[in-house]
Amino acid sequence: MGTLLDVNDLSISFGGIKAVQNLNFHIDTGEVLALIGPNGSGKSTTVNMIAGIYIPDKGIIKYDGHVIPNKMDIANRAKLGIARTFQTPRPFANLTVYDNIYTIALLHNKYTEAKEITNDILKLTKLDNLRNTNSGKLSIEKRKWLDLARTMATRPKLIMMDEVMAGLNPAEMEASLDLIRAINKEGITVLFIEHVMKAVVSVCTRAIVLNQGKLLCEGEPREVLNNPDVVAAYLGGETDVAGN
Amino acid sequence: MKKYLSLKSMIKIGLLVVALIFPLFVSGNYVISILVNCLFFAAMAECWNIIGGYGGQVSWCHASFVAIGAYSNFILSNDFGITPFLSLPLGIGISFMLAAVIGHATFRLHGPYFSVATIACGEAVRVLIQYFDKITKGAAGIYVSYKGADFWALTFENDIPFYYLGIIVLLLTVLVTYLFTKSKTGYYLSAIKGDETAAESLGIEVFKVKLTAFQLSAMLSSVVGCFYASFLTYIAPTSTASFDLSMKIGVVAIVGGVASLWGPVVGGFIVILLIEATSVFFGAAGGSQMIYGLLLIVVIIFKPEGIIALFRKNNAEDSKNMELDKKEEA
Repeated sequence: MGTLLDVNDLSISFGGIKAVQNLNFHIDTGEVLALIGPNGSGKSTTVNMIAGIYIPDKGIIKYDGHVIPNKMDIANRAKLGIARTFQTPRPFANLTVYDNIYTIALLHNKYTEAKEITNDILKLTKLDNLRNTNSGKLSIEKRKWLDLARTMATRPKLIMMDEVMAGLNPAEMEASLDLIRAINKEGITVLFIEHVMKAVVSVCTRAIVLNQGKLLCEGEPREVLNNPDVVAAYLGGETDVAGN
Repeated sequence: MKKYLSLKSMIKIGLLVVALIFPLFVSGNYVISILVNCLFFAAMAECWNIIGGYGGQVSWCHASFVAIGAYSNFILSNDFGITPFLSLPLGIGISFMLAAVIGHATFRLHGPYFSVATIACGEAVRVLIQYFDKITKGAAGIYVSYKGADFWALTFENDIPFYYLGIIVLLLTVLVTYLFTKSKTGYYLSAIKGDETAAESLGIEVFKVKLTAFQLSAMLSSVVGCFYASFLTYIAPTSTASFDLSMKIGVVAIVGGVASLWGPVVGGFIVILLIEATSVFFGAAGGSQMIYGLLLIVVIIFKPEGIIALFRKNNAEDSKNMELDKKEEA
């Protein structure tokens, strides 16, 4: 299992605020890596730098063995297979669920192939019953699934999931975790940015913790979450954050 | 295989048949000339709809492209005796390039900033037309050179030929718009309208798609402008390249229904007929402008999807799908 994404010495500042400082981490192919940390620790900023929304001040992002030039735009990074979802789901609200996925499937396929791929993704993401529903009318849970479904249509190698569990009830969370496992089973590597620690423990093979823009620690999720430094930084207390 | 045509298709065919035989039952030129106006405005709005409706990029400079088609027609036919049909490629080519220039200057902007920038571009084109008066006759404008009825010169004794030409041009714009919406670029454009950031993050080249749609819309507008100029018989920068015309084109589409194939057609007939009717009633006192403004406000407040939305099925299907999904989950 090789390294899919390698982040070296990544830094970015906004004005005087050092949002991310000298960050190093890697993701192996097929892995589900959790990126956790308290609010403002630099998780989403890191995702935005990998996705191309922010240009880092310093550092190198290597993807699939190649350095991604800072100038490479967002769309071209997506074409390489780097996909992401957003904290707040962003469906194309003027289109149906089917058309949301079909539009993206058309980027890499002919019309008939795109239709087949769309149908397969609808089944995988259990959105088949809602195919003709206007995506603007979906519940939060289904919108998040639609975000994931669309990323699947980009033929991704890596999906960065930004707080997919936020705002979901326990039943919805279980269903979403099943979906993430199913996506990972397809051979897709996942960077899982999350605050819900039960979810992290449930699906992730490894976790890295950011605090104030710096890497605090990394390791097996349960160990990391019980690390006193992490507990102090994340929760400001001594609770077992794994939920035990 | 479907044995019968759907009710919708039958209504459309029926309306087309009525439109085709209508001139047989009308005496005089007045009613026909108003209908020709409706047809051409519907066609211009349909062109605008490609970028303004399906793309959500509200442009207020489409009169520039109409003017390019119109001026290409009159300059080539008056000065060189070339048929307007052969002026079409010139108008299309200039519009394509102008749209590229305007697109590069404005598509980095979003929402109202983009719209305001297009107003400036439209005004710049109007001033340029006035400035190059040796070619365009400046503010004085150009009259068509009438040498008797001649199909190839698009000069006729009455407006009935323009009525049929208007139908053909309108159907052409509807067909092009339909094909565009079913193309890959059409789908990408709709996604951009839905959420530009998400579209880009999924691999859609936002700038390229917007520019392509804008260029298509501009080229098609110049085709409509070419035929519309022959119907008008006189063009001038203050009328054919004016902000007023750009606004009227956009308003026709908005009132009829943006991002809908038939919305601009409905809008063309409602807005132009209303303007004509109120002009007769109120005369030149500006009352018609007031009614026209009022209509726009009413539509935007009560039916922002446009009048065409009144004929669409309700959202019952969405609710049914969601209920079915919940049941299956349970």
